[in-house]
Amino acid sequence: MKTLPKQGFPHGARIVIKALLPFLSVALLVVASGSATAESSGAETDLPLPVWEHDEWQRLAKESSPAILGGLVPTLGEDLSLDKFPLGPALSPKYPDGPPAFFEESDPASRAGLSLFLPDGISLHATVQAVSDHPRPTPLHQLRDVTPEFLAAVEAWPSDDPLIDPDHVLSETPAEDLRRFLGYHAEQADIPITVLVLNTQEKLPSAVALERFVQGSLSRRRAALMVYPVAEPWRARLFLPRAAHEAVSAAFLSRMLEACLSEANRTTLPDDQLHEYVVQLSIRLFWLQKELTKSQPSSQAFADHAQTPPLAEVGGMTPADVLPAEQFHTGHPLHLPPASFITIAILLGFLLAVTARRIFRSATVSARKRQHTRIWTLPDKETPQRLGGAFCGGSGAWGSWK
Amino acid sequence: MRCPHCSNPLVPLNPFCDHCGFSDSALGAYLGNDWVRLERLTDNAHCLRLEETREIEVLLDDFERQFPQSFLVIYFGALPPKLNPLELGMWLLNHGAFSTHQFAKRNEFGVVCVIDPVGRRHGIALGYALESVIPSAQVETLLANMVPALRSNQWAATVQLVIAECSAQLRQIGKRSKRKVEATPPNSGSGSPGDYGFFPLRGGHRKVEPPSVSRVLRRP
Repeated sequence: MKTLPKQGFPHGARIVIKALLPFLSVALLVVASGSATAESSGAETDLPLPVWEHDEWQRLAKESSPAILGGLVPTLGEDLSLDKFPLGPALSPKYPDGPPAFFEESDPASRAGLSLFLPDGISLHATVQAVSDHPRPTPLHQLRDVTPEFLAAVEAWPSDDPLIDPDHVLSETPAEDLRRFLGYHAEQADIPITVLVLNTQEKLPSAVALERFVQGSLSRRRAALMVYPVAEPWRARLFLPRAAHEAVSAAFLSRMLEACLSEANRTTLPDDQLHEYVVQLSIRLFWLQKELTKSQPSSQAFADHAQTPPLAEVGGMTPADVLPAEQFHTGHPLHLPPASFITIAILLGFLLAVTARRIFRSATVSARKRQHTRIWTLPDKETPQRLGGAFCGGSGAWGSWK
Repeated sequence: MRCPHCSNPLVPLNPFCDHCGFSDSALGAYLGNDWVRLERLTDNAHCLRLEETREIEVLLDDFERQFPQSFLVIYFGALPPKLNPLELGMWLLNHGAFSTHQFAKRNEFGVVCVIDPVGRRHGIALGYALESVIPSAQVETLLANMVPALRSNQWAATVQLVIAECSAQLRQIGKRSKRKVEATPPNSGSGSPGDYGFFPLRGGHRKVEPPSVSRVLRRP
């Protein structure tokens, strides 16, 4: 370590200062604040400041910087931390406030390297991509039916698996989480949930035999079937036993779907959307179960296994019914509720009345102005006098209002 | 034309009614033969509020501005039982000097509306020049239209109705033209302030200083 040479006043100047000290003290009292500031700054310049060499900085930073991921990442060592983030004397404090960033934005190779040590469900690349993309509905003409092979796989799917995903759309971790949740729900509720996962641009054919799904176990288990296209929760379809439809109103079931959709729309991550959707569906099915217990005939019908057809779709909602207005364009210029039309009509009526009143008043004023600028000359006819009157001969009339 | 007193048909140039003997002279014997000065709006019965009076005066101004030859007089007052509103209107037109903007207006272009709120009678009298402009049937219709407002004691509304209907009727008959400014330039050679409408006050209005004591003592 080197030290800077001590800098101060020269010896002659000090003698002059001592001689002028009384005068200077008076002057210091007058300009106390400014002089004090100047004096303190001058004192700072007197302090000897250490000067660090580059190798000393690197060594100090190596000793004080925290290890990346607690030192568990084998390919990233101390050399990386120093190479990626050179700690210069001007920018690097001894104890940083926050943890250092792992990767720079333009370093996909390092990100891919880290993903090798993470489970399948934690894909940094996919997560970042899903967050950055705005959810857009797939146009109707781009939707395609699932393949017959897919349907065959669904029909042969094990009956004890509540998550049907023949194409492995979901990654391993979310799928296992969902299976655990669906299993817990099936243990607690009378209406278990079976989730059929589709790709984003897929849909079920119009004529599909639901009773053959999962080896025909849906009707036996009195389960709710949810067909869910990944990343498009507004196209999710829910099938419930017929008795459930008869126990509650259609509005109740519609609100159930709306609640699930609104919960799913709280996030833009496809996996989280599915999770939120299923959790809300589970809650609503518990409510539906309470409604079934209130109605004795419905409860008996629900317990009857010989229901035909076993499942019926809730709502049969189209994308136009559930999508936000700004996301679904059907060619209509306005997507407004009826209340908005009433409000617009009231506003237009008010504006029309105000305009008519202004026009009427301006017309009245202009008519009065015209009357002020015009005169009417009456004919002056000679009339013989009557009853001795010079100007009036009794013409006119009179009456009473008794 | 019928007699205001007995409604008997009148003969032109006849100085009195053949049936009842009514004439202007008979009215003069009852009300006097002197000229009386009267405002365009006279409210002896105190029917109108001050605000209504001002509004009616504005309407009467407009009426006279539109019809420079004619004027309209409104009279509110209790009449003696022997005198009906038409007789009073006739006498006012023959013996009244009305404070119109132009005194040169001839009374034969005048319309007098008399309303007796005590006797609940009302009438309209017309000068000779307006007989052909406002027929008697039109006057009777106007009187009938006044009745609803009179029954509800809406005096100002009644007067406004009379002014509006008379104006509408006169507009139909009159010849329309643009109003011209009638001011004439003063004589350039005289130099008198009277040419500009300025007239000096009388001498008695000036402040006269009392004579000083020294002047009085010097006086021989």
